[in-house]
Amino acid sequence: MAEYTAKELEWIWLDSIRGITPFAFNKLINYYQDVGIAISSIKNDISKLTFLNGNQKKNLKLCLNNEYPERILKLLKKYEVNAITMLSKYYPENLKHIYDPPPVLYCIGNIKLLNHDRMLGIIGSRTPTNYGIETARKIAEDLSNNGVCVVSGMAMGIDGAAHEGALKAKGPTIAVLGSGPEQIYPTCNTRIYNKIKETGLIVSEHIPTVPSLPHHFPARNRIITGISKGILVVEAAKTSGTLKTIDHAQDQGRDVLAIPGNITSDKSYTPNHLIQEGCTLVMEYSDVMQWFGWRETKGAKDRSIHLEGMDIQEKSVYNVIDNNGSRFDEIQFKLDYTPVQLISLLSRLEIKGLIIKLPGNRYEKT
Amino acid sequence: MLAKINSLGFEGIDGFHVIVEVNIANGLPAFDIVGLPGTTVRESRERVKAAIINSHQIFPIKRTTVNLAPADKKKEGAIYDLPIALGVLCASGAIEADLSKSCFIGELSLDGSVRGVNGVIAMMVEAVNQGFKEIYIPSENKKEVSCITGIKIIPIDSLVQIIKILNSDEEIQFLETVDYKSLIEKSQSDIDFSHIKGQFMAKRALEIAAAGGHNVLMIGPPGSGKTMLATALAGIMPPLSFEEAMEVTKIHSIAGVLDSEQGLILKRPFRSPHHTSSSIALTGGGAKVRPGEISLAHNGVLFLDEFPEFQRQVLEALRQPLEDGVITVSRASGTAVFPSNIMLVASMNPCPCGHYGSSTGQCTCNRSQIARYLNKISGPLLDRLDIHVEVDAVPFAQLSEMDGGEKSADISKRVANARDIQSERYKDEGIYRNSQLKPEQKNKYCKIDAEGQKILKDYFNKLTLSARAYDRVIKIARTIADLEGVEDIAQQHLLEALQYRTLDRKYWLNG
Repeated sequence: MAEYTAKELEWIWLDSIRGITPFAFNKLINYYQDVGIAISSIKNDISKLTFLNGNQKKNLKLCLNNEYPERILKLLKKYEVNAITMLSKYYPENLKHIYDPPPVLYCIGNIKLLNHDRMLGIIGSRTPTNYGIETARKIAEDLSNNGVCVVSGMAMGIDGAAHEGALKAKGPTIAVLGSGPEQIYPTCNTRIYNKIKETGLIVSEHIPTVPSLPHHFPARNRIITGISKGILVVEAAKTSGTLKTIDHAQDQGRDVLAIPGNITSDKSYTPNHLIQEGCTLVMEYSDVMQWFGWRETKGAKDRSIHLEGMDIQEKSVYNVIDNNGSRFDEIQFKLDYTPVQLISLLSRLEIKGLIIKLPGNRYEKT
Repeated sequence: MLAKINSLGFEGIDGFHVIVEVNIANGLPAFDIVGLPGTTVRESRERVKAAIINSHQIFPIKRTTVNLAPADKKKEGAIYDLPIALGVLCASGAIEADLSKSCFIGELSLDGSVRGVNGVIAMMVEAVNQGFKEIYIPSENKKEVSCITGIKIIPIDSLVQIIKILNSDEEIQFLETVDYKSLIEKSQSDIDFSHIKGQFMAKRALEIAAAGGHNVLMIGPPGSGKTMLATALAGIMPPLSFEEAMEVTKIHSIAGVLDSEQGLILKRPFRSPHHTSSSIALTGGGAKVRPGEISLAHNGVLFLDEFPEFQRQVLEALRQPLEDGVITVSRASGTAVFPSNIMLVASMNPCPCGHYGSSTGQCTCNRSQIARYLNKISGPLLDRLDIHVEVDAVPFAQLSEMDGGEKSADISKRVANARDIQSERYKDEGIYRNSQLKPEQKNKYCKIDAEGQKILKDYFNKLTLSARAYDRVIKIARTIADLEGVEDIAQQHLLEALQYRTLDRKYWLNG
């Protein structure tokens, strides 16, 4: 657990008080020029601080005593949370320059990732189509393979798929939450959360025990874009929360890239519209790499190495499956095997990791 | 004068002996029925009176008392019209015959004709057990009992006819018994497997299911042929044995759903209740306990289309009877045990719109909708569905070129063989199918060599199948080996079995 300097402790102290938003925090700093002075003098001249509302004043009065920081430190320790203040060397440089940067980031996991030099936000709909899920997962995996750190919000849908892809490639990934960093929301992503905790980083601007409230989510989106070099929009409807994130990205001067989709699908409206307006179109991971001028380290996942280990029968089945996947009846139609033989051959190929079975009795090459 | 007439009744699916005693004494004219009669039995007074008069006989203007013994058992149904009428006629001297070795069942119409009743087979079996020599039954019911031996059956059309027969004015026409084997050879299934084009994986899965008694879940878009496959399933199961056919007919007869033209049920039943059915409709119940769909499908197939649309409690009610093969229904009027040895075939769409992963339509559902839809089926229930198979619509271009594959009759032989192997293997275990294997029995009969273990381990690690899939895969592999007629479960059996656990795969439930 990190040791905090006296200055950092003062930052955490003031930031963790309920109601003190980054906005209010900055106002206080501007007023007093120093956090330490602020803490010692707020109580005396609270009536003069007209930019604070009643609630904030009440909370300040409650929390500006010497026991409070002890309590916060205990809380951080309990949940193994690292508080990274703007004074820390770990605090991402990019984030400092956005409109209202969070004074303190509460992190669980590998804090070195905060200064990763290839950070890309992957964002999109919470209710994507199958196409969106598969694309997000695949591109995140390939990018991760090439040393890109995938940043997202661990929400349902595209966010989760992006994290999954990165985790599959055993690459670094950062999840920015809209609640305290120890809380898992939505709960269906528990598996992802636990994995990220081990190999990646969980970031939040809230202290532990803060619940996830609706207004936290638009705010956490500014952090996703803030720490990233750019964002990749996978799927989003015409009126989606993703639009807010795109706004943040544009305000902060981050690049916005988009993956096109079917024009008849509602969920493809936003990315297609972005492309129409001049955003970079992304078809595969290398488009992203090129745009940011990142050198490829590994290339796409090598899919040819397994071919050696197949016998003639397996090869014949593998060759019949086309690149978009083939249905059982189609494979059966093209080959002379009995259904029984074919079923076990498909299992063999699955064990070797060469194909996967998808809904609809469809087999696809991995 | 006192007369005693033998008759029968039924409770659950078993018959019992009823003695109808009729006493005619001097006194104020009255006609009473005692001995716990139900409403229909009480009403038979009016029918009996009218039928006797309309058959040109005299109804005694005296004090007539009818007792249905045993007096403590509730009697239901119009079965006793005929015996009561005969009792009255015997007591008044219109019939003079020894009826101690005969028994009678039948409902009377006001004009004196005899109408069919429910549950004849169950009662007939009891009559044979009681050692009666002959039984008089309504003509309408003669077909369903035509295979029963051990008792002389006399079909009756009207009260006039039976009076003539009993008074020896007319010759007795016994019912000619029919050989069961000749009947079964004539019967045919409606849809043959060879009529269904493509769908080879689904057909193979159904073959395995039929052989090992595994319950099946079919997943596929609308119009892909799930119902057709399920209907054809009964055709690949071995033909009903005589005992099975009797049991099935008995249940259908009691429930009153037997077609009088059809007679004995020769085809394996195929029941397909609608998804709005209540749990009582499925399990059985009612004021007079009646078998439910699960018992009507006994020895056959219970097909639940649109599986997730059934009410949760209805599906949960199926769990115990699926496990035990019988269902005990208790009501105030009594307790009945109905057999429910069925093969459950459930079908569902892959998502609310029905097109997830399909080749024929575009899915418009999002992941959470799909997850919510799939979550409607509880884990314990999914546990009882051994085989999951996906059915996809065959594209039209291929429809004309594809062949249908094997005929039902050929598959049925393989299935029958596999079933024989299982019955032989489990004769000392008290079970008769692979699907019923308990964990310790599974270890004993499903040995898997090191190589097989490795395959399972690799597959489970790679595809993150759930633990509940493991047992099922082994049981299915056992059945596949039995279909092939080999004793040891080999690699290819396991490999095939692994493809029949779709819903355990990660991609279905955690998007």
